[in-house]
Amino acid sequence: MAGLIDPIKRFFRKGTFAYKSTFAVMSLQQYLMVNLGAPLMQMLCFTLVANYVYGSQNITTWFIGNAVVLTYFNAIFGVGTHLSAEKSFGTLKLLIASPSNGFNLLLPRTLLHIFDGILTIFIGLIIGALFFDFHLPIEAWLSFGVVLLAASFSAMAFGLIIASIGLASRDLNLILNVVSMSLLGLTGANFPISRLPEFIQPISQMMPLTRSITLCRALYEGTPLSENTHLLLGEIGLGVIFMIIGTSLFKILTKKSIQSGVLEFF
Amino acid sequence: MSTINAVIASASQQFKTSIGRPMFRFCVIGQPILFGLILGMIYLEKSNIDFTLFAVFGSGLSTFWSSICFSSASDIHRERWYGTLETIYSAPVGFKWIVLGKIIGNSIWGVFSIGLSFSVVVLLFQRQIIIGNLSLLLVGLFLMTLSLIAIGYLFAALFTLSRNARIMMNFMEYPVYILCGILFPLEQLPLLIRSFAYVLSPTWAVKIIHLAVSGSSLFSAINYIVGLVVITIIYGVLAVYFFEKIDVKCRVEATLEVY
Repeated sequence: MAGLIDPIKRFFRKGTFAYKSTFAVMSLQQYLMVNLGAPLMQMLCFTLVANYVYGSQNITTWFIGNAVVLTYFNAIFGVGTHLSAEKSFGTLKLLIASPSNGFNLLLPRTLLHIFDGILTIFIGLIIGALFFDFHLPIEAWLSFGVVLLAASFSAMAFGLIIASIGLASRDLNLILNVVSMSLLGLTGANFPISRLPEFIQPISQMMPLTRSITLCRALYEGTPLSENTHLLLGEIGLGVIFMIIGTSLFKILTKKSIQSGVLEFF
Repeated sequence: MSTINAVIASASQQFKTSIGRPMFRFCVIGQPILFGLILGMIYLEKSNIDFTLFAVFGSGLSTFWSSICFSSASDIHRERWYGTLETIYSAPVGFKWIVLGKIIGNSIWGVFSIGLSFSVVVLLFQRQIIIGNLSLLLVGLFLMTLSLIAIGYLFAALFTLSRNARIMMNFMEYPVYILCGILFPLEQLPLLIRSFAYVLSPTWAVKIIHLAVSGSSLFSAINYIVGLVVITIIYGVLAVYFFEKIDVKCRVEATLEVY
């Protein structure tokens, strides 16, 4: 039994350490401002823009898009910065030299961010209930929760790709911000995807959160999850693909940097 | 004269070096393009006036504000990290003048980002851009630049003794977009919040730009022009006052680099 429990314990311990390494240095006030204040302000801003542009009768649709897209804050600025932070702290070489494989190193790092992302959305939804007439029927909450979990998983897996790219880049901040803005624009959170040029629309379908936003809007309009399982499976599948790409990139880049002796010099 | 030379030299040095930072490069090049595209898509089916106000000028003004948040407000913090804060602090010309030069250097890039965002949105969306009163628009943009320099100066002073500068600069970005009517009309907000918005100078600048776009005369915008000038002067005076206070505090407590 202990043989089964130990890896799980280790998995959670790694996840907790990774999360603490990002936020433990902050006071509670700083943590709330970074983790909740900035994302919620962004949601509020774009929802108010939508209120003006699309009218108050459609506000909930756009509010939902902007609430779900909040998970990218954890994915991009949390998970996405983990490896470059290790590089800055001088602990990357210890991590690479450890017996754990890439998957074991990277997956736990997404764990608490997944739940943190959902918590941010949940607080966003409370704001929506107070100010933007967001009222989800009680029977839809479970399905909504499942979709948010899938959304958060897929976004965090996407964050792993960014984290791996960060190993080979000195301009991670630039990458993080370009990617976060792209998610705002390409996921359909703020305007219909059909407005995008035709050649960009397939890219939109390859982004995390696009399907989750559609699903959450459908659930809000009363469509049961069972009618859109292909979207849910699509989001989870996308998350798995992102995870494989992220892990492979990590392996390739670390191998290459070890061979050329530039692990911490990119 | 030596003070003016120091301000110009500091502005010139900041103009050349700030663009070397990836985050600032994103603020003045990446964000105007991406924000312009997103706002252009959102306002695609609105009237030409709305498109001009919020997609064209909204994206420009918001990126200018972001460049203030991610540079001017945190430049002191950065100098502290570089270990150069003591050196510029003890320069004979005066710390506050060197900081003013830095803010001016950053703001020149801010003006560039407005131009970039304007060009990108106009070229890609091919919409008719309405500018009813060009001279009023130029007056508005000029005063807005001065006002943002004053805000950046005030933030630089306030954040000299703060460890929260980096956190604050991330948090300040969107509240100003919301409160100042940069991305949507201020009238969307409840009356109580709207009255608070007039404490912030971008609100006045945005009003002048809106009047310029809708073709109002210089005379009809005079209240907003006076309001913007007064509030800019207040920011400037407050900034100088805080710099004086901080100077005394740092020398008495010897804590300049500890924060």
